[in-house]
Amino acid sequence: MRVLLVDDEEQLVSTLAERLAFRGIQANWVTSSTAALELIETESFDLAILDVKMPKISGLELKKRLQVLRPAMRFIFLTGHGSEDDFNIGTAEAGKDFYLVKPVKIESLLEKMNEVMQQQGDGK
Amino acid sequence: MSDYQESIGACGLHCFGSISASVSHELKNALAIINENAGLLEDLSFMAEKGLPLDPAKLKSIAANIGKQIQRADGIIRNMNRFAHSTDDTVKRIDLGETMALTVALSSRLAAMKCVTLIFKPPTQTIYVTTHLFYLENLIWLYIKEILERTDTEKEITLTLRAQQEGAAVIFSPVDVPVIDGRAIDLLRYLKATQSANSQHRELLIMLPVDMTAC
Repeated sequence: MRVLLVDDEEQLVSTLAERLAFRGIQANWVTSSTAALELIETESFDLAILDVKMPKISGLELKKRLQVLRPAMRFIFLTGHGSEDDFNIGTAEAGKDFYLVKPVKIESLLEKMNEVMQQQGDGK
Repeated sequence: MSDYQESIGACGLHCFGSISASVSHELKNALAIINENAGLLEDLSFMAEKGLPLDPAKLKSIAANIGKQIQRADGIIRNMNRFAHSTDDTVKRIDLGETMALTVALSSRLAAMKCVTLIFKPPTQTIYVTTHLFYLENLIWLYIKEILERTDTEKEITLTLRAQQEGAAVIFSPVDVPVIDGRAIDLLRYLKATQSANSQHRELLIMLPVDMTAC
């Protein structure tokens, strides 16, 4: 599985990528939506893990753009909201997306990654 | 309660809510980084137990990262605490430079979301004013917010505080479109302040009197 991590907090994505690598998951990271859109021109990913609030292009907007370029790509959002419920209320995509509230336990993230890829397997 | 009083009351709540939300997001990010670094230590310990050698330089780097985020979170909380205490006194004599610096710091994430850096240029001498502190912070924050919303190309917005004969001037630049938000107008009126523009220098000025509470 190839994973793209996008968050404007460099320390967060670089460390998370390192931890995923220990678990045999190849993860590339970038710190802006613009950099993600540039990277996707030359690289393929199965899954993108996106911060919701990023400068200029938000995670939700980035997802829409990435989906156009890579329709098979799957997504998980990381949010700094107080709870998952807050995030649900605050987005038009409520109920459709997978999201986790920061700070995230690696076990929860891996579980969510399996879940989202399983959904793809089910053809949803 | 008059419409005007309701307006500044609602504006105060909006400002307090927005700053609280921004602060909590920033704290969440600092905690998330600490969490990942702590997790990385666990991963490395687990691998050391399996026989992989531990690199002391790596451990030092992780400890430094955690320390940096703790300092960051402490700074955020200190600013939030000062802001929260600005409601303690209805009227207060304050150091305007300190208040400006705090409000700019509290607005930095808002600016970062627009890829803009806020630069505060303090005055050469301390300027003391008597004011409704919380509403003065509201006013400055609201101007920063409105200016950021109108900015598409600027990478930096400078806020200069300058002593004037009868008070002080807060100068925002570069700004092309004057702020005409109704809430800002109400706050200006409440604080006996005025707004003017210098289109030639692309400046927006707020003139603050020494006593913003005088009838």
